[in-house]
Amino acid sequence: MNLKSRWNEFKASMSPKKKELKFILVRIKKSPLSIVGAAIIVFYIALAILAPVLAPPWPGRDPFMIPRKEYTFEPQPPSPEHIFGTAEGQYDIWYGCMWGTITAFRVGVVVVGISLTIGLLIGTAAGYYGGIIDELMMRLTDIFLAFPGLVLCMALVIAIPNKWTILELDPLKWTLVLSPLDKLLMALSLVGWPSYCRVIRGEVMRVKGEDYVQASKAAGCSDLRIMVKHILPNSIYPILIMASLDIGAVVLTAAALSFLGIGSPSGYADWGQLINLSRPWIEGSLKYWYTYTIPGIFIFTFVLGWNLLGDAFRDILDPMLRRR
Amino acid sequence: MSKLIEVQDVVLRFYTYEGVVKALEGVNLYLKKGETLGVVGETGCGKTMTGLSILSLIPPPGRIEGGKVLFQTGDKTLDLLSQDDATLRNVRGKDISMIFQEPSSALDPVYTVGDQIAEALLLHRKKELCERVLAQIERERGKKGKRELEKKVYKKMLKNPDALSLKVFSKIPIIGRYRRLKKEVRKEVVNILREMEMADPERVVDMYPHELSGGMQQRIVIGIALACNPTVLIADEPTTSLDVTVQAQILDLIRRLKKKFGSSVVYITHDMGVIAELCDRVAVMYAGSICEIAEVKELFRNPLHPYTKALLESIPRPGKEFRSISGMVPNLVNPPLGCRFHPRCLFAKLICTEERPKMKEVNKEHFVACHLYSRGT
Repeated sequence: MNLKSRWNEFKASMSPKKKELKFILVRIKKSPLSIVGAAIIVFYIALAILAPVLAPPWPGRDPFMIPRKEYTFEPQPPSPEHIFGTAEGQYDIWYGCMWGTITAFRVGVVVVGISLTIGLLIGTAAGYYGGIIDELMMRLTDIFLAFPGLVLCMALVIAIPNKWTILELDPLKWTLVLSPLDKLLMALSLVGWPSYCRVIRGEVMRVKGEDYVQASKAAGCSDLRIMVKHILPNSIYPILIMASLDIGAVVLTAAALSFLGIGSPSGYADWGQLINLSRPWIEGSLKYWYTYTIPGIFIFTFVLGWNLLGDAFRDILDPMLRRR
Repeated sequence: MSKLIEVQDVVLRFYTYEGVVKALEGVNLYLKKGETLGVVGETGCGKTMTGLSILSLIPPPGRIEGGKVLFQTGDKTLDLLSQDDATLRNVRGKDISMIFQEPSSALDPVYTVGDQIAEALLLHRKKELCERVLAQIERERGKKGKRELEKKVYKKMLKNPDALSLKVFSKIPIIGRYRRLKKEVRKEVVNILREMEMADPERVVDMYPHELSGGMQQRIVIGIALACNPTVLIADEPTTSLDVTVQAQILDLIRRLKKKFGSSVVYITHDMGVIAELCDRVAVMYAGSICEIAEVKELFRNPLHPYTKALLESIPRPGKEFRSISGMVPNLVNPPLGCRFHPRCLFAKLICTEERPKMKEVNKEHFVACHLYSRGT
């Protein structure tokens, strides 16, 4: 009756899951690249958590806006005061890189999360019910997929209004003001979901034909129960792999958009934004190498880390590749 | 004896690109209480589809275009083909359940064996389990306040097993109030596994399907089907993918469980040996319709339909010439006119190519659909 016996019971009920987890850990240990990937991501998570310590923001200011003391145009090389030097307009690159880590995680996780959710809902419904629902949903994804992703993103960022009136009752007025970064997140999610939708639909259609779905129908399960309990757990792995690979890709796209001047505003702590600031200084000599190389390395290793981790996930989670 | 299930003139069509597949053409069957009805025929004769249409689980693009499936529950008669989803879900698994052919694919690979049996239990027998838990609380001595609280929870569960708040709270681990139900379910699952003659059920509960052998998997599938003591069990070739020794064990198991729970069984197979072993009556199917129904002994001793005769002759026996049936099962998009068996029939006459034979009682309880026996009457 006491807590200890309850805990023991809980542990016993979790034992099959624990066994699987151990198996996964053994698989991870066997492939060195996945350890490298995981290490990179852990390192970046640590950076993101420690950002307020490593680069203390000025009190009373938005910590995501990079602080600057002067407004001189020319970038300054690394010095004890500015470890990575300063970018155009004396923005501190160290500060930008540290807080940019948080931005990168925010962009990656939020965008992939939203597109994953939309894709899962629509894809599962389309795949399971088929027929006219499927047809409508898939033509909708076709429309999204017909445009080049980056171009559609740019168009959407510009087209999405800044102010959203959610509710308008005469005395009450709820409005939502979107920052440029929020708009970027929205645009990226809108562009991202169709590919998830496609993959999950295919998987659901495959699983739908399996005997155990028929069997659970014969046992009296409702449609919703079959979808949530039997179809999704059996079809979600490719999507999880895709998502982990996609986090890197999304950060890359966001950086590209920031570089093009769409997305985060000037001076925002964002790797792409820092490279955008160094655009006039790339040409000619390598004198200003730090302005673009350092944020570039950050982007490169971050994306590399996610890709390695995604590959590791695929090796571990894919039922076709495991159990050898 | 009363008819538990009566299939009347069921017509099933598949609308495919190649054309309309006439999968079932007026199937008539009945299942008496407590008996085992065997359904035999070649592959693609509609045996499985007959089984599925009893549960009205026909996969798209199939559509049932006529007929009735009458099912007796208590003193009511339900036409299963015209019920809404909720009623059907209540019948499926609880009153009529099904064993599938391929045990390895009929089990969901991501859940443990225990979870899958528990699912069937919780879908249909939650009330009974709750009552048991309540009785258990009554019997127990302990802090009164705590007991009252637990009682409240289970009473609520009895009243509305699908209440949202209960669902949410039961998902949080280590909350004591829901442990009793979980424990009770686990106990019941272990009981079921023991009933299925599984070795070491306490350990098997926590295993995943891929860790079990084919015979053990089939026992689990049977366990799921029998978890709610159904009145009718549809077994769709449950032993086809198993080797002979395991086959014999599974047949024994089905026979024993049938006796114990008093269920009626529809046994679908293409193995005449199994039929002779297990069934009381046999229905022979060919190309989407039934050509002969009789009691087992009668059918083996006195087969009437040419197809049944040919089937019986094609059982390999030592010292006897093995004869196969020439030709193939016809394509059901364009089935032959008249009797569907006539292109392969040794006794075909002109009328066989023109007119479909009707079901006719030749001896007592011995029906046959063949023109050879319609003359004179």
